[in-house]
Amino acid sequence: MLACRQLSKRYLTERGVVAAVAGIDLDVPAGRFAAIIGRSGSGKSTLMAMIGGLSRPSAGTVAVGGTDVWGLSENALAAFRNEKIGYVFQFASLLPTLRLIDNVALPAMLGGRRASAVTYTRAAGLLERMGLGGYLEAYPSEISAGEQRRAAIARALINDPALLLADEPTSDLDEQTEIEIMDELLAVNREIGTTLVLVTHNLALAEQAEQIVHIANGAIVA
Amino acid sequence: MRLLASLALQNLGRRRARSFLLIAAVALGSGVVFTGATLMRSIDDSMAVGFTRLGADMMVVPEGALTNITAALLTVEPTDLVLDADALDKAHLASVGRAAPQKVVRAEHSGVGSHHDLVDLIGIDPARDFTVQPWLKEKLNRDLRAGDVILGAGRDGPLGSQMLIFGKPHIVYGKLGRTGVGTHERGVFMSFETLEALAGSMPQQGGARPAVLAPGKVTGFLVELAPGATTLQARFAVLSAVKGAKVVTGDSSLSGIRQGLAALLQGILALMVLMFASMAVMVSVLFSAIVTERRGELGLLKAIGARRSQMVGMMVAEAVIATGVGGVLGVTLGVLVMRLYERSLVYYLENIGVPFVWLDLSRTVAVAAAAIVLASAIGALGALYPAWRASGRDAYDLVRGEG
Repeated sequence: MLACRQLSKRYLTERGVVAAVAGIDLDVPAGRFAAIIGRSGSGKSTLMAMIGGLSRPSAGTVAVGGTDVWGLSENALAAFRNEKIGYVFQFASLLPTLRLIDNVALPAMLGGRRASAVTYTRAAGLLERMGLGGYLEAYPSEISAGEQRRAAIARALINDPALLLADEPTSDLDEQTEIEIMDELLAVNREIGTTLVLVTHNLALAEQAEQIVHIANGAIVA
Repeated sequence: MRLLASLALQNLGRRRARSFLLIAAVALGSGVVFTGATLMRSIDDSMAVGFTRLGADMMVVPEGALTNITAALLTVEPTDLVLDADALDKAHLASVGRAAPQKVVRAEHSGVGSHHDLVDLIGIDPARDFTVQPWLKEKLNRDLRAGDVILGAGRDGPLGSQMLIFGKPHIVYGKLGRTGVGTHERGVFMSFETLEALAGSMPQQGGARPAVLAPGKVTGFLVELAPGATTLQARFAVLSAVKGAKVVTGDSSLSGIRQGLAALLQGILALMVLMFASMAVMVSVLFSAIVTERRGELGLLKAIGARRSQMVGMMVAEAVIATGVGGVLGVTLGVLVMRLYERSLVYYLENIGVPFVWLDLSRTVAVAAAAIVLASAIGALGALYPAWRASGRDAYDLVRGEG
């Protein structure tokens, strides 16, 4: 499903060139739950952004389902992100001016492959599944941080992605909410069969994964 | 896309204070542009009427003709001498701006006024005339045509009524305002065609009809100088080019005022263009800052699969909505200001006899539409570049607030 080869990301800073990710090779088979762990600043999120088509690598390739992600044209890459990848950020990433149902429906509406009514029915179903059936019309500011994160997972799933990327999705949540969010992600992985890549610095969470990738200083150490 | 348009609208609603200030700034700018452009055009038109009412700068008549130099207005007097109607056209004089030919016949027993009343029948070319028609106080709602006459202020006759001249029926097309100049007060004005058609009905005086009634002949020309030209230059040019002509000049200070005010108006117009350009720059800077502030949102949209065109479209739509609303409010504000202007200064000017010609409705609507479209275009252009630039960045950089 996911294959990274010699993936690197270098930044030019005032102190010179800094390698955030340095020549990573990574394979994650379809349907697997993989966890990327490492300390803050180790390059986990940068690696995740390159895998998700959000940050162009300085070198190397990323293939998702056999498609060379960074070989795609600008519009094709946008369509690929929209259709094949679901991304859950480490912060509240809902648009504050849209209702929850609109936020969840937004990626499908941008893609424009389904009729609006079908999209909204599916968005309502996903929010229901995340336990947010009573908040379809609510705005993000009217619900808790944990609920916002669950809504973000629903949004990531709206287009049935082949790959679900979660970048420290529970970073600022309490322990109970963290467990609930992880349960939701695991359920998506096990019940739907979506490949899940989770970035975390929480070893307890990572232990639930079938594959653990340990990163330090931009390179895989274990 | 409806959702993106609604997102654009909601973004405006979310930041109410900023949206309000932006709309107010654009409203103020487009209001000034709309009011300024409308008033400038109106003032321009009014000046054109006002200045032409001041009459011609000089008069070209046959040598030996009697002339009547009035302080207020140059007018052609009846004479047996004539000039060729194309004498000035053929000379192509750079110092001559406009030249209005006239045919003047003083007639007795014409049927106009009392039996022995001497009536000046004055033929004008409606397309070239600039000294008679500006004085029209009232007229029929159509162009002057054959068989129509315009009455001087000293003559009676309701608009549209029939008037017999040498037994031939004519329609009273319009009436002039008071000029204080005899010819204008007592004259009966008509097109060359109408005057020439009277030749057959006119009793012959001294065995011949007036020579000026022959086609291609005129009594004289009323001349307006070209911009920047002096009466001296024009006088020498005319005298050297038109044989047997005499040049009579009016008050030269009026020519100077006319030319000076026209230049001033152009200067004010240039200032307005400058102001409009600075408004465009201000809006661009503002939208550049707005796009920078919204990098996170743009990054998020990009991350979930928004195409570059969709992201730019959303930002541009937001800008166009804000500046378009500003444009509409500005035009509304401008209309209110002009109503105020009409009730104060214009009312005063008209009371003291200074004409103020408002731009007609269709041109006013066109200026209003242009002001709104320009305001929206400024918004679109102001947002386009920063949005295009930001949408080209990596989604990850945008989400992290970089780029």
